[in-house]
Amino acid sequence: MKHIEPDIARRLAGQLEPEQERRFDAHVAECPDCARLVAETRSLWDALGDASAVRDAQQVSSVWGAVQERTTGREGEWFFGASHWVRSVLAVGTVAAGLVLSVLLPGGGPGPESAGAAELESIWLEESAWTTAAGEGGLETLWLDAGLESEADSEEER
Amino acid sequence: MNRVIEDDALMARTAQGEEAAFRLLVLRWEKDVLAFLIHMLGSREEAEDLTQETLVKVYRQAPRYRPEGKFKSWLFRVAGNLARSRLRRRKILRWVDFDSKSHDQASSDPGPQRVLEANETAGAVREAIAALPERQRQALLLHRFQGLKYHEIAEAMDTTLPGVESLIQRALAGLRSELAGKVELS
Ligand SMILES: [Zn+2]
Repeated sequence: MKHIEPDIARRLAGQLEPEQERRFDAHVAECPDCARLVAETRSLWDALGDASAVRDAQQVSSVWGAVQERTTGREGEWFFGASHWVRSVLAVGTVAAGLVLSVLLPGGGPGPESAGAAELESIWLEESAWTTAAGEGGLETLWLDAGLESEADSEEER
Repeated sequence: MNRVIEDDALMARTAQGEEAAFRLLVLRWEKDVLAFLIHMLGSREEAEDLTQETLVKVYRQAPRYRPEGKFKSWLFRVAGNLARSRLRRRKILRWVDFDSKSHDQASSDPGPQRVLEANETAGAVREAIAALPERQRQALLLHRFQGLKYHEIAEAMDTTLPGVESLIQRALAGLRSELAGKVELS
């Protein structure tokens, strides 16, 4: 009888195929050694979940500012480095061009693949609200609820 | 997770220099990358630093990225490689300058992280994770915390499926024996 140790982690993560899972469970039901190992690993699995650094990560502010500076921000320097007058003309020009285009090209709103900046922003807001509110087991269940977050914030302030 | 816009599509738009697309990718993934790196490096400060490096690399490599629906494996491959070269460098530094104060700070950085560990069990578990051999730790983190499947881990770590199986099996065995007695395991 083949033992199941190599499959334990995938069983706990729910990543075995249904047929593999059935065989796994059948074996554990009749092999006390494997049953003990599975029980032990399950506790370890849960303890790992409790020790996850996701909570810490949630309290760190976004690295976007720093990343932007080193990526897209750098490419935008020609624009932001330009004089106020040039920037104003360019900005007004862009808005005007957008208005003209929206009149010339009516109908057929942008699909998800062509969403513009504002839409991407609202997608992010929806996603972040979704992860905090719903969660979906594993990592996600550890994502902070509002209470924990404010508690931790005040802890950092002290 | 049902994303409204797939990561691959955002990468394509990032490659075209669309900042909003790249920003969404960063916001979507930075916490996962940071959590992974905290466990890999044992230092929040260094982890934040490498999270930035990882995302800058994502941006620079976007034009060469192949959209095959494997963004997550690829992202954690980038993060994992950076973490392992940082750990290598740390080992060399330790050897060259073993009483460097700044280094001690990095490896046992108490900081806010320590404060958060009100739960001593979690502290012991973290220490045990940190004590695992690098590749075992990497495979286990990707599986347990990032939910990657074995074939995705194989891609992220440049190894085979049996290789991943063995890494994770050994990691779990190591943790069970390390934590036996310290933490109640069933
Ligand atoms: Zn057995």
